[in-house]
Amino acid sequence: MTQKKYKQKHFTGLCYVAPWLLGFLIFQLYPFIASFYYSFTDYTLLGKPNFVGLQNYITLFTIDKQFLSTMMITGLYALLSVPLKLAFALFVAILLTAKVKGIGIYRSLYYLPSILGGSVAVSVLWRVMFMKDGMMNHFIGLLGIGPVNWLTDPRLALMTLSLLQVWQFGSAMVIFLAALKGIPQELYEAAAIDGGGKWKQFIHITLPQISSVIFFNLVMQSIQALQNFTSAFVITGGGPMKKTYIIGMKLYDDAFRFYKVGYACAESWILFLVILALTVCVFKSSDAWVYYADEGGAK
Amino acid sequence: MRKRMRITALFLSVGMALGSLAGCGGNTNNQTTKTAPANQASAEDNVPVTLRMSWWGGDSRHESILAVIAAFQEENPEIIIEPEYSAFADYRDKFTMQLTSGAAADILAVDQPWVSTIMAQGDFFADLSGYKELGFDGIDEYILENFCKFTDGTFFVPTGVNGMGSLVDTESLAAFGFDISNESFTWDDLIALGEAVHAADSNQYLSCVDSKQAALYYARTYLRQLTGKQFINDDGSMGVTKEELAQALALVDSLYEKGIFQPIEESGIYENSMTQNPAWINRQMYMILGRTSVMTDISARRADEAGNYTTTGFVLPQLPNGKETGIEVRPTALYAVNKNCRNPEAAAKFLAFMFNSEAGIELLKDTYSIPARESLRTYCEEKGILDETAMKNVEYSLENSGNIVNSWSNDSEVEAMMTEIIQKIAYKQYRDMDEAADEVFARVEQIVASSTKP
Repeated sequence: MTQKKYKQKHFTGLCYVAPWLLGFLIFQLYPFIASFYYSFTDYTLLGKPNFVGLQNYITLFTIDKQFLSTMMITGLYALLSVPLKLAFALFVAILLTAKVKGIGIYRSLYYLPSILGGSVAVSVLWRVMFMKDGMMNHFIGLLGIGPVNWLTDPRLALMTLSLLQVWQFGSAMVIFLAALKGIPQELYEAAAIDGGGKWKQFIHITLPQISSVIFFNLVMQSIQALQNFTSAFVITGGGPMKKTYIIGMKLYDDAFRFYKVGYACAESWILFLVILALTVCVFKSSDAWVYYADEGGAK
Repeated sequence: MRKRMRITALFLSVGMALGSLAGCGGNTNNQTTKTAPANQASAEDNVPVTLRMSWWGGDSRHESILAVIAAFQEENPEIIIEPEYSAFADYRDKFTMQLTSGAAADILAVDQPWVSTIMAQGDFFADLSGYKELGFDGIDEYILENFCKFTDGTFFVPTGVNGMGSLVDTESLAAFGFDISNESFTWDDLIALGEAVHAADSNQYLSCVDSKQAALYYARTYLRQLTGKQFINDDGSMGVTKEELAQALALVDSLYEKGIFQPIEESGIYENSMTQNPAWINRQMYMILGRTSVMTDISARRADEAGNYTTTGFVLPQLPNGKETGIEVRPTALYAVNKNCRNPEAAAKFLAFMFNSEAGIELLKDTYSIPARESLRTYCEEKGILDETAMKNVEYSLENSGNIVNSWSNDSEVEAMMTEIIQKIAYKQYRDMDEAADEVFARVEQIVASSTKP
């Protein structure tokens, strides 16, 4: 290939990726850099930003007591929802590996909640389901249990929100399903010949074989949970008594209700650093529990 | 073939790039105003001009304003008004973003508590004082001077006068000895009535309320009556003492304690939508405190099967020997013309039709409460086109208005904090109200310290 033709091919390729590249530069990279700059200003959306140095960060950790409590609530929300979601997604994925008639339909049906996603409509539905006279209380009423204030009891509200996150297990489930189907059947056959039961097969074959996928889902779902906004905003509005006031809501309130955009940018950068640190920790820990076949097993 | 592919790819890329950039309007608030040049197409030349108009409200308000627009366009076919409307909850974010990005509508509804913040931070609106057809002379002086005029000009047209009072189910409350003619109704009367209501049936409560309303219309009103002072002074220091605040919070605590408010575990799900509470809809709650502008809408939602209202207007509870009435009179909303509007004359013409003409008010009716002009109020009274409850309430409010609430006391972060405090009171999180007052003082200090308010 001549130099000229090589350059032309590159140019064509660049033209094809340009729309994505432009979208990335304008809608991701620019806001990313801009938010870093604004985090050192008193930007209010309406006026000109003035440089205030580290003031926003100092305020966050010294004056604004709500910031730390909001971070704690967000962490608790992720701790409640992510393990439950992964466990449930894996459980359903295992069920869907069964060789039964119409399994494709079941797979599609179980994926449906994820297509609906964490949208406002689903959040509204969730709110109605968990109201005092909602469907959930109707079901537990059939078991003779009295109505529960799912969304207005400060001890239960965060758990109810977490259940919505768990319900959207579809994407994690699909990834688990693909991983499960990739496990060589000979391993199970060999275990069965050696007298290994289903539980032992699950612990000693299935889990190690899909550990890299568990790792991937853990990272992605944790990030998603820590950045959640819609469900808390629509279902509880952060209440009762700010018990479901997650960091996404605080960011929104500070930026768009209280016009403290510079301050909200500082909060978002702290959130980014926390997510980054957690992700690095999970990556570091993966050496101990993630099995990669091409590396000959976990270190 | 390759050449064709390259051209296609280039075309797509340029298209995408332009599409992306189309949405990237810069912040124009500090740029030179884009006034229409002398030869610009304008309504006077009978060349069609298009104006975008944005407002918030419920369905009935949207219908009324759309009817006004249709009637205006029939008379002025050369001016096209493009409506952009939403619910209040969605409006503010969109309004702020559009204003800062230079993409705001030509004619905009603005809520009065936002005005001081917006006006302090930029030059966003056109001075309307030169447009005689808007008839500022006929507007109530109190409204005009306090809410529409600024040092540089008159920037806002008031939609109507908003008073404060209560809405009561007279028929149901008659069984408990309630007297609608008692204009000296006190907080003690409210408590006695509420206790009687709850004692008769533990599923019924006198007041329909959420924690935000409890903070605004119970704690704050009581505090204003008790002290006659601003909650927070203009310099950010507290305007009331801890003891005074604790007394006001104790009122709310006792209203929850005595069953005058529904327990928050049951009512909490209807935060920001309290009139959707089944207890209110099913006539197991009998009173709402609030602003005049929402009373007609609330009454309509709880009309009986024949369409007759089951509620009527009543006074705001008072504190005997109170320092002031606690009644806040202000415009229901304000309308402004974007400084970047290319045809402010046409915008002013439309606003004059909407708020300064008999044809306009006949269509608007009381969607914005009672007109801010005496002449139009008289016209409406003669024609019987306004809700009598709203009319009486505004007259009562104007006669008994309290001090104007300052910017800090109306601050949205302070309001959110007070809502949280009320929730904590309702959930019994404090040993006593002194502890709650201590928290309010500490939180106000935090809010002021982290504020960017000019």
